[in-house]
Amino acid sequence: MDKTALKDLQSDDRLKLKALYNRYRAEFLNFGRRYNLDKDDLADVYQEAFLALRKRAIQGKLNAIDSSMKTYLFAIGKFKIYDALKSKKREIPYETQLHIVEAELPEVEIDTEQPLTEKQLLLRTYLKELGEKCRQVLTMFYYRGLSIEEIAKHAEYKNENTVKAQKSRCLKTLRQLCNR
Amino acid sequence: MDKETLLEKYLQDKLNEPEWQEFNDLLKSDPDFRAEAEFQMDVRRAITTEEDENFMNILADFETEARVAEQRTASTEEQTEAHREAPKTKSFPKKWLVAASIALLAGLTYFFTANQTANPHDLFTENFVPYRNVTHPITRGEETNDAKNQAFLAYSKGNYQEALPLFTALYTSAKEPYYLFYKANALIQLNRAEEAIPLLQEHLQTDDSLTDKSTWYLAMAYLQLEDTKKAKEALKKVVEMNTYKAKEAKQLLEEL
Repeated sequence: MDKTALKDLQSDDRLKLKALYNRYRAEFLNFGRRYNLDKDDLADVYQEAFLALRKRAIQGKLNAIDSSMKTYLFAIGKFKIYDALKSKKREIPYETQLHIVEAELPEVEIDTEQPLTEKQLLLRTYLKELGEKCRQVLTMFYYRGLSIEEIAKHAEYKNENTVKAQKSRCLKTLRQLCNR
Repeated sequence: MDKETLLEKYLQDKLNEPEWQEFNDLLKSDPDFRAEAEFQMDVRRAITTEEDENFMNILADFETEARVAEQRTASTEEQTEAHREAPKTKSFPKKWLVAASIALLAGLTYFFTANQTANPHDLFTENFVPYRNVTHPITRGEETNDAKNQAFLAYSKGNYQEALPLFTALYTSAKEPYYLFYKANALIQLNRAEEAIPLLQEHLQTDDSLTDKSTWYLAMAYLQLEDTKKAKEALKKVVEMNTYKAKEAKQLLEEL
């Protein structure tokens, strides 16, 4: 996969992300038309696919992928289109499924997520009560999947032990908020 | 491997086969470890949802911007189309040509003078998008149909008229400040900014996770009403707070 594009995707740079978003958007909306979804639905699907792509990128899951970013994005998109059709209780035409669709799109499975549990919803509100430092370290660890060592380097901590201490302090606060 | 490292690796999908085995054995034999693992899995899920939604909001902005750009190119294309068709109408009487050039001149003068300070209502149209529903995510195909779900479903689908009374009722019974925010957004979209303003002001008094967004929407409401002075005041506050839409507010202030 294109290294520069991948790096842009992993970044928080709004302009670069927007350029990537726009790079494949028109073509995707065009590709999706054959499934009889309207533009708003397709834009939603495209956004979901783009999010899934970025998550994989920041978790380092795309580094070893050979196919191009576009091919991969469209593969996720195709999966999401089927999902959207299913939820609209529309039949997926046999033809589109087997013949017309680009044969080279790899199968990319996406887990369908369960709604948050009561506890998880609570945790989400409590996360907002944590300080900036906490949110940063937790996001790096749980969302970006950075190792303690990487976090120490990235966020300019003294060493790995300080990161660990910070992380457990934050978790402790969260636990206390839950037990209030 | 110590328990902590094992759990860390698990949470980041980095366990290999023998480590998986070890991890599973610990889950069974050590209730404290199990509780800790479950807690951190919940934290991970909560953070993931939060981050995903933040990013989806950014993407929604990209989409809006892309559509605004499309509309702009579409209208320039129409203009060039019109130019191309012009030569077809040959031999125009001369006096019409004179009249046309005067009209064109007047038009251009208007265009240039009008453009010096942008019309607040145009700026409103370019900048206002109702805030995405982040409070109550609608899961596709979900069957539960309580009042809250109905309200947010209507809102997410763009049925603002339908959402209004639902938000009013919900706010009366539950007093959650975010209902004020979404109701105000719906009102602005329905060209009823006057009614949205008091709601946003009330929302600003609360300490809700959406409060930092309210000032921007207050500015949007004033723009819709073409109250440039108050819109500017609100935009300045948005810039000062330097969180939600600060960049956009700065740019708007320059245009106003």
